[in-house]
Amino acid sequence: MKVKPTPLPARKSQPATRGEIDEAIKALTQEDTERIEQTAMNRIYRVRRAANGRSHKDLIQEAFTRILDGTRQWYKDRVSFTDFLVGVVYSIASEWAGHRKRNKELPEYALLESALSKTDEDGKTTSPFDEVQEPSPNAEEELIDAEGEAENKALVEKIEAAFEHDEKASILLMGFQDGMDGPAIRAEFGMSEKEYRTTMRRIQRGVRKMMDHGR
Amino acid sequence: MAGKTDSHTERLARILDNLGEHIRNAPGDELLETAREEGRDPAETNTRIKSILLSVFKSHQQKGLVEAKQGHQRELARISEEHFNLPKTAEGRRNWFRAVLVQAPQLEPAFTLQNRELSALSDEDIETHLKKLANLGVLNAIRLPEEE
Repeated sequence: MKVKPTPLPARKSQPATRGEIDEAIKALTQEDTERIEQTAMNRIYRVRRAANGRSHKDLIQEAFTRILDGTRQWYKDRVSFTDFLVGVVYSIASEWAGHRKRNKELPEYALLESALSKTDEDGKTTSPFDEVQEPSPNAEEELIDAEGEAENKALVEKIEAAFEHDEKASILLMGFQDGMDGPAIRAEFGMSEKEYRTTMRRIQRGVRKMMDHGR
Repeated sequence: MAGKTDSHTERLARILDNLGEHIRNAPGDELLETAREEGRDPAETNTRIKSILLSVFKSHQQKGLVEAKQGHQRELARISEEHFNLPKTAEGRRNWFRAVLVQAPQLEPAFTLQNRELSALSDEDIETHLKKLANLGVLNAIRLPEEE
């Protein structure tokens, strides 16, 4: 009678050691570092004012610090170092955005009054806050929201205008704004994977130019 | 296609989120191409990102070492300030220490490894070790010789 071999107990995976993290950094390829760099830039554009002056470099540093101090643990047998770091970059950017949402009235997030003030032909400076009698926190928040919305409207219009003669890019941009994702748009408009990726690269370049210019 | 009720903040967020997903999933060679098209050198980015990560790594390691060193110094300071009823003479303290090693020989490597020869331990070393042992409660479990 054949005896069924007892399977070896599965080894519980362990968080990577400092030495393994050090090795992973040294082994990062150009493709890896580009993914980290471009992701961090994308997230900084996404959270905009919530970044509060922090750059994509700060975002990468913060993400890596959390891996080192054990706040986030990397299991090398589950995910690559690059994908893990990119995930932590996403989560910190969301955290920054959440903090801003909850603390819009904090001075570090509010636009300087001087930036919103206008000087007329007679040299008289008016502030948007002049009209507001003892603003309640809600009124102040609404003003900040309205200002942000106006700024984002201008950016969206600028992006659309930049690609108005690029049919494929326009389809993607409109689809995204409408809540569709890449596969859904591709299926609806019969766009090949290659066409999609090439168009996305064009949009990425254009958006980066506009976002960098607008900062 | 765009819904009239959506804010422009949401619309911009959707564009950027889809771009983010594209970056996360795009083949590596396309990311390199994007970088070159934007006028960036992927080799320079590689060096820069690695150096950012390695510098965080190094400063984190140094911070750990500094904290461990400070903790050790605090512990030594605390022990030296604490009052222990040790023998008044150096010879008496040496006899106590000898008694510890005879009755708890498993402790000997901890002291001899660092100092090679027991006889090479200074009076000061003996006193510090006895204070540590007292602090750990080891001395309570040892029959200590009377001071002459």
